Amino acid sequence: MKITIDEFNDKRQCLFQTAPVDDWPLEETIAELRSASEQRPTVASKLNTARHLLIQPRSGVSDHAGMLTLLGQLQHADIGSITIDAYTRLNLWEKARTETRLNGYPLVTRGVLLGRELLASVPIPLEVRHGSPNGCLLAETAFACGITSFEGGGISYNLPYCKDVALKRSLSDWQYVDRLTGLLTEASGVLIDREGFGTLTAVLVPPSTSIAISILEMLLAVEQGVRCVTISYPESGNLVQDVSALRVIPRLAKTHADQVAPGTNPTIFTAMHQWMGVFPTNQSQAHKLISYGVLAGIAGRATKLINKTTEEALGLPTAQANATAIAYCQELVAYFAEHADAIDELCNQIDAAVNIEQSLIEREVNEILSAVYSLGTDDLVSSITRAFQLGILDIPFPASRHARGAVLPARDSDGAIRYLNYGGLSVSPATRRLNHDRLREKVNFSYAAILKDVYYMSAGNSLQANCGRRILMDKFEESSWRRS
Amino acid sequence: MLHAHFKTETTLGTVVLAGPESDCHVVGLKLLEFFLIEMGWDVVNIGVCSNSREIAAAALYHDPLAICISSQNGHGLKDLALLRDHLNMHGLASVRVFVGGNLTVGSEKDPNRVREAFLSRGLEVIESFEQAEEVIRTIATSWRATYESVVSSESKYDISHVTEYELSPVT
Repeated sequence: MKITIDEFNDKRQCLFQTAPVDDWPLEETIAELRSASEQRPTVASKLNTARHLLIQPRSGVSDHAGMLTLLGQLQHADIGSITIDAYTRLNLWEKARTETRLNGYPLVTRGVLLGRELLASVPIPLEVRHGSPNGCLLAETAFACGITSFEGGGISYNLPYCKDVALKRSLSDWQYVDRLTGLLTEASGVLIDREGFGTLTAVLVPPSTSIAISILEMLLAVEQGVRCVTISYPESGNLVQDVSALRVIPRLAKTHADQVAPGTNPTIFTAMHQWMGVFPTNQSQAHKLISYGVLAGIAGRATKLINKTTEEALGLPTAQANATAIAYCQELVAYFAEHADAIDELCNQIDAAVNIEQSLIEREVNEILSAVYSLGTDDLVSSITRAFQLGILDIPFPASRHARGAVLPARDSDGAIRYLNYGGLSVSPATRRLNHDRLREKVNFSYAAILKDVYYMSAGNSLQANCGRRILMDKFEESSWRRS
Repeated sequence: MLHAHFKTETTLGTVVLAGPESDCHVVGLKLLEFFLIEMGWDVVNIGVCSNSREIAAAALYHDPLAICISSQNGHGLKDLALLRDHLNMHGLASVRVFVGGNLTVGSEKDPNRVREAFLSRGLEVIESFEQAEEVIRTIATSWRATYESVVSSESKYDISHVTEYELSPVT
C-alpha cells in the first residue's frame, strides 16, 4: 500500500523527534540533489550510460579526514561508496558518535554538512552502503548530502543483519525510505537509484532465493514510487550459474513488475557482488578469484560489480589494496572490451548449459513468488511477513529469528549452489527433481560437508573447474605480464 | 555446590554461543554450532547481535562449560567490554569466555596486542574451532574430575542411576 503524503509527513516528524540531529525541510534536500547532480553524474546516469562493467568499491572509515583521503584514493572507481559503521546501522547513535576506529563512516552523527564535503571531494557519484534494518534517518541524511543511490531493503537488511527486528517493522521503515526516494525523484527530477541486497547472508545463497527476495523488494520500492532499481546478486563461483542468474534477473524482474505493478516500468540494473564468502589468504589465489568475478560479471552482462581486494581474508582492506583492486578490475574490463571475441567464444561454450540453468532459476523464482502472491492478502507487506512465518519464504543461515532458516544449501559436483533442502519453500515436484538430480551424491548434511562448501572458493577450487575460463585467464595474465 | 553438567550419559556438557551486539555475521557462528554439535556437545546458540547482558543471562540460565563468541566485524572489544562485569555480577566469574574471528578493524593486526587487549577484559582469544573444542574438553574433564571427587567424598551412595532432574536443582 502506498504511504499517503500525510502518513509520510507524520512519520518524518516522529523520525526527527528521536533523531540525534535537528531536522531540515525536504526542500533543502531537493535543492541539494539538484545542485549535486549538476556537478557530477548521478549513479543512475552512470549505470544508464555504462558501456562496460562498472567497478564500485566498498569504503568507509570512521574518521572524517581519513574518509576524505580514502575517497580521494579510490576516485578512479566508476561509482564510489560510503560504507556505514555497524553502530549507525543499528541506530545506536551514542556509540556511533563517541567510539573511534569503527568499521565504517557514521554519516548520520557526522551530519549533513560533513557528508556534503565528502561528496564534493570527488568527481564520481557516491552510494551509501550499510545494513540497517531501519535506514530512515540514514536515507534522509544521505539524500540531503546529495547522494543519489541508497542500498538496502526491508527483507535483505533485516534477516541477515539483526536478530530480533520484526519484518513488519523493517518493511514499514523501508517503505518510508522508498516513499522518500520516490518523492524526491519526482520533486527534484533527479533519478535516485535504490539498490537491494540480494547477497543476503553472503554464504551459499541459492540464486533463486536471492532473486526472489530482490524482486519482492523491487516491487515494494516501485509501489512507493521508486523509478530506478538495482538488483544485486552474490557470486556463487560457478560460471554457468553466475552468468545464468545475472542474465535472467532483468527479464524476471520486468515480468514481475509488469504483472504485479503494471505501468510502473522501473529502470532495472544488475549489480554483481564479487565473492562475498571466505576469501583465500594466498594473494595469487585471491587475484584469480577477483579476476573470475570480473569475467563472470562481463559474461553475465551485469551493469556494475562491487569489488573485493586481495586483503579480504585479513579484514577491512587498506586504501592502497582497495585502490589496486579497483584498477586491476578496470584493467581486466578494458582488456575484455578489446577482446570481445574471447568473451563471445566463452559464452558460446557455455551457452547450452546456461539455457538449462536459466530455466531452472526462472522456474524456482516463479514458483516461490507465486506462492507468496497467492497468500490472498491484498497488501504485499502482509503477504511477505506471512510467507516468512509460514516458511514459504526463507533464507539459509538467517541472523534473524524471523526467518526459519530451514532452507539448506549445498554445492553440486560442479560447484553450483543447489538446495539440499527446500525447507518450506513452495516448489513443485518437477523442479525439486531437477535440483536433486544435480545434487546426486549429496544426501547427508554434515559439518564437514558444509564447511567444504563454504570454503570452496578460498580453497581455490572452482578456479580450475572450467577450462574455458582458465584459457581466458591465462590469456589475460600472459598479456599483462608482457606489458609489465 | 554441585553443578550437574553431566546430565545424561550421552551429552558432554553445554556451551553457549553468541555474536556480539553490533555484529551480524552469522555463518561462522552457525558453523561453530554445527561443529560443536557434531563433536557431541550440547549447544545453546543465542544468535548474533546479542548484547553482554543477554549473553550473561543465557550463561546464568544454561550453566555452560564455556561461552564462545564469534566476532567478525572488528567491534569485538568495544561490544564485549562489559561482558566480564555482567558475568561476575551473576556470580559466573569462573565461566571462561572464548572469542574468535576477525577481532579488529583493518587488515593489519598484531595478534599479541589483540590477545592482551581482550585478556584485560577477561576474554580469551582462540584461533580455531578445533582449539575451542580442545579447551572446552579440558574444562569438561576438570569439571568431571571435581564432580566425581566431590561426589565420592560426600556420598556413600551409588549415584550412577540418578537422573538429570534429580541432580540439577542448584541454589
